[in-house]
Amino acid sequence: MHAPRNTAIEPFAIEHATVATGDADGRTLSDTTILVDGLGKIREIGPSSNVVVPPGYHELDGTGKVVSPA
Amino acid sequence: MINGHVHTFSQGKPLDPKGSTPEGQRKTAKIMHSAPGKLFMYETSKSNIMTLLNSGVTTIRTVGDVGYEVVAIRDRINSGKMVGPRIMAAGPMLAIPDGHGAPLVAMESTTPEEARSEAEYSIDHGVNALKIAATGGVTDSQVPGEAGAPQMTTEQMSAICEAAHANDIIVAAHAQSVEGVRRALKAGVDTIEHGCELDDELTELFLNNPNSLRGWSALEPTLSAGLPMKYLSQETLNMTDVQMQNSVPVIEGMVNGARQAHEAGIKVGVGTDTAMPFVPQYGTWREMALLNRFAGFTPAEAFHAGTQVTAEILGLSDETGSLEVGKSADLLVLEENPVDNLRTLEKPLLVVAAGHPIFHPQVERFDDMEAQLDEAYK
Repeated sequence: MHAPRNTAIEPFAIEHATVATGDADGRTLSDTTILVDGLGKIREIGPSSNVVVPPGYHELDGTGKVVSPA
Repeated sequence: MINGHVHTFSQGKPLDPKGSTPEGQRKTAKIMHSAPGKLFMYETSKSNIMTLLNSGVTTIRTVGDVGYEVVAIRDRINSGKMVGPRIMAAGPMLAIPDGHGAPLVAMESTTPEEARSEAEYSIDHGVNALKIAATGGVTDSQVPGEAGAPQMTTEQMSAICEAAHANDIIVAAHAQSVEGVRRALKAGVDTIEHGCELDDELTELFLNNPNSLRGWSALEPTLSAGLPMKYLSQETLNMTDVQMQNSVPVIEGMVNGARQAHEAGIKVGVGTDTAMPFVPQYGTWREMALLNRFAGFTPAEAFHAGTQVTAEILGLSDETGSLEVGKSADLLVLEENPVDNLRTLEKPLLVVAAGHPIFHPQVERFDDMEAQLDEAYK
């Protein structure tokens, strides 16, 4: 039998990004960090100064970039 | 982005009009329902779904498949065998004999009993969406006036809606005239695809539809499928005189309906009708640009439609559509804020689907088609 392709999720953080919320009024959040856990869920989203990135999380620098819902 | 109106059977290049006649469709349908045909359609659908994903779309609803190939792909994604978008799959449409989409991407019924039994057949085959052809369409029309002409009876559509709603499944209906939309809404359809100019009765039925699953119905205008037929030449489109003639009132109704629905507070979703001529699988961003350009949406409202609103329309707001703790990590990293420039959605730097990052997302763009569309909407 073939083993299924590995689709495991490695938890990661996107740090210091601007968030485009997708709200009807175009609201944005500045310098925000988003944590994505090993189940593929958003574990935390908030000001980068408040969010602690847990050990074992990959860190992606979002400075100057915009993160939006997909 | 979320695309609520997807077909995966082709890439969205111009169609050969000979292939869309009932005879042409029957020939193709025969091939596609053979064993090699099924394999071909599975691989074609998979490739098109990967294009959608790489373009930044992490949730799709298909609304007319050849068979149950998209159900199979959805199940592989959900069981962790492959990475892909969240999928709601309708399987074949439900139509009348030789009606819109039939026989290539639709099953045919003549009575409410047959319609119900076909809906249940699809549900037994694992669909989590259904789609009705309530009226004729443009791309397979053979006579003037066919597009928008009511096809399925209200009773047939009611039977389908009852079967779907009993299983918590929403129903979409292709409907391109006032009478067609009225019948579909009265039957309890949850989303009207393409639409028409609205009167007071239709507006009220959208906002308060007692026979729908959730008490309201939504509109997906699919401007991406309509407007090329208004702004490109017949030669470029490779369409017949009849198709060109039929497209005129349909497009006018589509654009006016989108604007009216937005003003009236009806939920308007983003769906592009991929696989139709000039509707490539990677072009979801363009629907938002068209809602902004032609239907009175601000860029923020258009982006809101392509995320939060379409999630709500598809019944997925608890899972996706916004970045909140506990929701699925469906997100894009972009060069710019889409509210400042919707076109930044054309080339996401990173796509994350349910926590799976797709680094350096890439799609094969059709440069000629893109240049023609850019020129048309300049």
